Amino acid sequence: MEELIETLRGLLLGELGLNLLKGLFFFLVGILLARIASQTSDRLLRSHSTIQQRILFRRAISYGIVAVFTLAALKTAGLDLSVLLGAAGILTVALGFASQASVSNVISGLFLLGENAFSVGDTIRVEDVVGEVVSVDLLSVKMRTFDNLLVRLPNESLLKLRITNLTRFPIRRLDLPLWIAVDEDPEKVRETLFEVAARNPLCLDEPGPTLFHHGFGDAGAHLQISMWAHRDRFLEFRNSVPNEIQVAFSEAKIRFGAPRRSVWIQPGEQLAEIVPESDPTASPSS
Amino acid sequence: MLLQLGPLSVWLTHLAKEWRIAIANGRASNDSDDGEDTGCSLEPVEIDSEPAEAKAHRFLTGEESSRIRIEPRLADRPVVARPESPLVIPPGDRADIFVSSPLWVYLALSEPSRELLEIPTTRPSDTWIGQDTRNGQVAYATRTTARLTPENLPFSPYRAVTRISIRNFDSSALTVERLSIPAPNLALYVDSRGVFWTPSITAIRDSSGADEAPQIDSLLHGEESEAQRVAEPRSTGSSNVLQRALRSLRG
Repeated sequence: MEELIETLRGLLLGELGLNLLKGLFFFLVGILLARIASQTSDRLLRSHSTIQQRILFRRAISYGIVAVFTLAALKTAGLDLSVLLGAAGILTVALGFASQASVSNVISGLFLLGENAFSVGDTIRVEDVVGEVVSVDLLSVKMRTFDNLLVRLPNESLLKLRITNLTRFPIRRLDLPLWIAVDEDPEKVRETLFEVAARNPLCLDEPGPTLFHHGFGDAGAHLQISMWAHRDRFLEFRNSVPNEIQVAFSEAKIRFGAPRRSVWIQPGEQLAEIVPESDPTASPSS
Repeated sequence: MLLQLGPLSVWLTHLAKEWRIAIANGRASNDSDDGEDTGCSLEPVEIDSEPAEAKAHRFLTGEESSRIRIEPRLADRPVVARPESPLVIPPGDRADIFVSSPLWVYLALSEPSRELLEIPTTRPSDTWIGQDTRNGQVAYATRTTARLTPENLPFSPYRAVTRISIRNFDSSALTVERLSIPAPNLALYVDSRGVFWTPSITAIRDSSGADEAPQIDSLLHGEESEAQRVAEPRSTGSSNVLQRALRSLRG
C-alpha cells in the first residue's frame, strides 16, 4: 500500500503531474476567455443585432474557444489526439445510436433557425400554448407563458407542429363575434359599432373597421366586427373594446341576441291537459 | 397652477423637492381641424383641487427647482389627415391646402434643467401608413376640412398649421384621399398672432405618374416668415423616414 502511494506521489509530482496541472490550467483559462469573449461580443453587438443573433454569436464564440482550449489542454496533459480521433470514429457510431433523439433535435433546431419563423422575444402560439420565446437552444425552444410558466418545446416536435407568430407583423386585427337581437335596426348597430371604433384611440383609422354578417340563428343576427390595432397595445385594446361596445349598446338601447324559443299554444288548449295533475313528477315533454 | 389647453387640463403643484403633475384629457378622440377653439389658460388654483379621475405623476428632484417650462411640440409620429371628401387636382394643376395637427405639451424644469413629461393636447386615433399590413408605420389620424387659405382654417391654440402644396404634372387627374404630415421631421414656429406653423411641404406627381419624395421647405409661407422658431424637429429627416405625403388614386 505504501508503495502504491509512493508511486502515485512520484507520478503526480513528476512530469505527468506537471502536465496534468498545465492541462487543467489551459482548460480553466479557456473557460475564462470564453466567458469574457462572449460577454464582450454581446456588448459590442447590442446596438446592431437582434437578441437571437447575439445569443447565437455568443454561443458560437464560447463553444469555439472552449473546444480549442480543451484540445490544447488534452495535448498538454500528454494525451495523443490522434488516438482520440481514432476513438472518435467508434464513439460516433455508438453515440449515434444512443443519441438519436438529441441529434434529431439539434438538426431540427438548425432548420428552425434557418427558417426564421420566430426569434427570441416574439410571442408565439404552439398548439394551445401561447407565450414569449425566451431562448432558442440546441435541443429545445423555451417559452414563457403569460401565467409565468416555462414551457420547453423540443426542436424536433416544433418542426412538425403548427406555429403561429403573433408579433411578426406590427399591426393585428381583433375579430369580435356578436349576436344581435333579430329585430334590431342593422344600420343603427353598424353606426354604433363604428362610433365605438372611432372613439377608441387605439383602434386604427386605417385599415378601418369592418362589419361581417354571418347569417341568422337561434340567438338572432350573427355579426363580427373586425378592428385593427398596433401589436404593442393589442391586449389593452382587446380588453377595452368589448366594454365600450356594451356601454354603447346600452346607451343606444340595442339588445344583444340570446337563444330564444317561441311556444305557441293553440286557442282552447290548456297546459293542464299536457301536464296531468295526477303525476307531479312528469315533465311537459314526457 | 391649472393649465388648460382645449380638452387638456394639467394641474401643476410645486412642493418641497417635488413637482406633482395631474393630467385630465376630457374629450374623446376623433380628431379634426374643424371647429374653432380658443380655450387656453394658465391660472392659479387651490392645492389638491384636481378631480379624482386626473392621472397624477410625482416628480422628485434632488435639488429645489421652482421654475417649470411649458413648451409646444409637434406630434411624435406622422399625422395622416383625411379630407372629408376626396380632393381632385386636374392634370397640370396645383393646389395649396392648409391642414392642422394637434400639438403636444412638453414640460421640463429649468435650473437645473430636467425633462419631466410630454402630453398630447388631444390623443388622436392611431392609424397605419404603409403599402400593406406588413410594412409601414403607425401614425396619428386626423380629419381635415382641407381649407385653401389659412384665414379660413378655424383658429385653435393647440394645433399647428401646415401648408401642403400638391403639384400634378401628370396627364390625368389626381385624387387625394390622405395627406401625411411628417410631424417628427418638422420644426415649429409661432407668429405674432399666436398661430403655430410648421414649414410647408411640397408633394409632386411627375409627368410619368410617379410620386416624388415630399420636400420640406425650409421657409415658411408668405407673411408668417417673421414667425419665431419654438421647437426643433424631433428627428433630422432622411428621405426614407419621410412617408409619402400623399396617397392617391387616379381620378
